[in-house]
Amino acid sequence: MSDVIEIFTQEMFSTLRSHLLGNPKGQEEAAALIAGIVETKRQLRLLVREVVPIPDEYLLHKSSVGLQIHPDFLSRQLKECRLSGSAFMLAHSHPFGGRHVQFSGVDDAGEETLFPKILSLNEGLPTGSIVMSPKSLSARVWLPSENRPRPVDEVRVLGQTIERFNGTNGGRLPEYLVEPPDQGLYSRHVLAIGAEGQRMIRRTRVGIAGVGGVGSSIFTQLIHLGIRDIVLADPDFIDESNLARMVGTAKSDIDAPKVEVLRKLGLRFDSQLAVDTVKGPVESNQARAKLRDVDVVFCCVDSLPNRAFVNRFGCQYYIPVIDVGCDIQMSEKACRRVRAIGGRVMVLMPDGPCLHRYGMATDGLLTDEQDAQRYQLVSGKREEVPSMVCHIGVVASLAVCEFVNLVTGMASRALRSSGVYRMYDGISGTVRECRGANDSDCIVCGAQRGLGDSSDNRVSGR
Amino acid sequence: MMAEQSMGNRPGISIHINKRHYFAPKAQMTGAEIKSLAAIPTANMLYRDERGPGPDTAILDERSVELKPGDHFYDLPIGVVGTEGDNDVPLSSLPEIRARVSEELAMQIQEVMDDYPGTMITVTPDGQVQMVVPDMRAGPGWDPTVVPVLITVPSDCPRSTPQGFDALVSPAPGRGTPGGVSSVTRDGRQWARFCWQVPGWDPSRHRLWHYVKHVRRRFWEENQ
Repeated sequence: MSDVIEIFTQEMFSTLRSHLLGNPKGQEEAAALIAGIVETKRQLRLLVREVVPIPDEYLLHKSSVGLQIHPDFLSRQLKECRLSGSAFMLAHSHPFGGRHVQFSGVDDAGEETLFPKILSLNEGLPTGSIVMSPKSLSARVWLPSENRPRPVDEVRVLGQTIERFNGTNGGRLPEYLVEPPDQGLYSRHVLAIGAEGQRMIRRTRVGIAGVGGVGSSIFTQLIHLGIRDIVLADPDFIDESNLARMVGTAKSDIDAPKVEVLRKLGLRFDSQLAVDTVKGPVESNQARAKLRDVDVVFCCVDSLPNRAFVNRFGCQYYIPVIDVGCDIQMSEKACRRVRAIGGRVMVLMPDGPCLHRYGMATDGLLTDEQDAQRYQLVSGKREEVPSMVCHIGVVASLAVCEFVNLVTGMASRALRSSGVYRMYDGISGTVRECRGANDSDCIVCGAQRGLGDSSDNRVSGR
Repeated sequence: MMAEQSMGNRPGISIHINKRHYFAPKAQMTGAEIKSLAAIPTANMLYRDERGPGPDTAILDERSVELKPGDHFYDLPIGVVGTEGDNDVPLSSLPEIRARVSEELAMQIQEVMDDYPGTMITVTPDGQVQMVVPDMRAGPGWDPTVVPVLITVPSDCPRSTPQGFDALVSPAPGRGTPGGVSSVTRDGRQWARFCWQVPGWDPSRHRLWHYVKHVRRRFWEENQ
């Protein structure tokens, strides 16, 4: 049976928590959650994209030991879920619950009456519930194929770091789900980030979109870091000029698909490494299908439209995107000289600013690049841009450092959700932080946020 | 005038209730009649599923609605959540406590609460009763000098005596740890566990109140 994971953005989780546990009289509170759905062979993910606190006028009874919710409220939220193809979830608090809060007998009885009905009315989409105390939470889900609720394996909050809680008691993830880290191999890592940090790295599934110079450098660092499960997507084959930039390649790899060459490289390091490859562009159906249940995506594609696509994809599936780019700009004069050597690392969280809000994927820039791509396609000429492995390596390392911060919370200075990104200047050899966006209010990304596969489940009316 | 459909010997208006097909016997029916058609519990609310994004219409029991072929209805119960039966809830009112423990024990707890207002009770899943007595004066030999104490009470008290209590307290600087006190970790914090017991506990004359009084006296004695 696949794992069930509930994912919140930091904003959604904070909204829920402050409502459920903020009652000054210590009374219980409740909220409806509307969640996008992602279902793969490995996992069922519920992406909480709306928290609707239940107003007092819809509570028939409210005290420190219980709530009764008027069906009118449930009917309205269910309608919203039916129309958007979303999952319905009910969250409530046990204000006096302790460190291991559990669903009570009253909760069990209430769900047994209500939830099968919700399952039926909401076209068989999963229905879930969460109970939260000041110190812990528990979550479970009702699936149409099962007539009993099953515990949620993990509740994840995408904040400054990716917080991962055990869905049955809100504590750390159970040890049995992760192998003990190889103390010999990763002993130096463990000294820096602890065994728990190394476990978090190990159980993170990573996607890399584009495995040219930057992507291959990130790939090799990730496998040395302890990642065991990677999805690679790239349509290209290795040509001679790639060998100078792609770490770990050799002349014998020429004309082989880039993703396959890296897969073999990874297996040479660790024969147990799971490398899933897609020999196609990141926006292809095959790549989308495989990237839906990764935990973090590195975006190392060449074109701006593809970067914008990966950014929207991350918003849609609640997957943090680490966008990485590196280029060398030459002067236009007859005697060409290096004008700038630059690199950029941005952590794009689902509820944070997007490339558009950073001003890096404006309509004008996207149109220019699409025109250039069309010209290359028609003319058959592929424009070669200057690039060197040394600068690529610096930027790739910066990106992997951000990944470690995101997954383990190792470093305090984080870029997430704050409109800040990191720029590398290869001429001065410096890295600086830049502020590029003050808000995350993008209508394009906002409309996609947390939908998951739910856009495919939408119904027109009834 | 509503169109009526004839299906063999079962004339009526074709409607759906909870996704099941029914023939309504007449063109106008009350909410109660529609519920009865599909054996819906009377306590549940009935709704007509409206097309489009607007909210569905609640049909009260006494309200009469005109049925159209193809109408869809569904019902929903009241959503109920709560912590009755949840073992994490501290009980501080006597009616709540009486509902969870024996009458004999409830009376003993009441005696303690009369002398120590704010005393709270928690019942664990295995029926064990834990009593928190706030503001127990530990005295200058302890840090802090006033602490809450957590007493695990046997459910058959006074036939069995409490085996001790826990407190978030440590000996004041310069004082040694007295006998019968050890350290335990609870909720990630270091608690002092006191194995103090009433000498010569006699179920015929001792009650929980005596145990609490004994704890207070022992703290006083330890300060001397």
